Amino acid sequence: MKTQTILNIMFFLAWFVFIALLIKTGAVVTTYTISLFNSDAAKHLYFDMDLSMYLSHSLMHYSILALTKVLLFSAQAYVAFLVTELLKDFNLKNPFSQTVVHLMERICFSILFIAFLTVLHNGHIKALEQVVGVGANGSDDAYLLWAAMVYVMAQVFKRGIEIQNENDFTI
Amino acid sequence: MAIIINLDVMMAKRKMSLNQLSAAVGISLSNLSILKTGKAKAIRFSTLESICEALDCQPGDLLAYQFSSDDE
Repeated sequence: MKTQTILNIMFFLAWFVFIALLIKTGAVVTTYTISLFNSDAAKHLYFDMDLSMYLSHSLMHYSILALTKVLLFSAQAYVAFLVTELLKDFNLKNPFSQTVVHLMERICFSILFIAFLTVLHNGHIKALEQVVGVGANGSDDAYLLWAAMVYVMAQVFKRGIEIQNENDFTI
Repeated sequence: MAIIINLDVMMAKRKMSLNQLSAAVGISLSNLSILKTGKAKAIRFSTLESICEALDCQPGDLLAYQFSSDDE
């Protein structure tokens, strides 16, 4: 009962995070489009996200950085969506199901994609730092660890399915 | 699987239907069917005991080991 309540709360939290990330992505896309006509908008791409120094240096690099940010937020939103799907399909009475393993593997690969994008993004920012002279905050690079953890959990769940299957066929 | 279930043979010998056995043993028809068709992964001692009691037989009459080339 207690675990189910926690899972229900997490389900709503995941939905909240998913919607928040969608809004964040939409806001960045909108301010980026505005910044193409009004460069002042680049100073507040999203709250304190200031990419104006890159815009003044090169529109191409600025666009790549903004696009990477949009891709990162979209991928994060997708992961949040997958988590909502996972929590929706998760059944405490019968926790080990093929759907859960499949969703966990998709989450793992999505996080890996985020990790790959983050590495590229951080590398790009570092390279630009030498040219522009000003550095911006890169993204957190702990995603590889996340992906590994989710992958291990998916493997544990796979073994769980086998054990549950064996248990179901014990007469 | 190397272990085969001879439940259908014993039921035929005792002239007992699956419904009758299900009622006598207290196991659902679907579970008995899984056992009969050899899809079961394991059998509890309590289940084996009930079936042996209902069919008046020994566990060896229900279970047999079939030698297969995979076991070598």
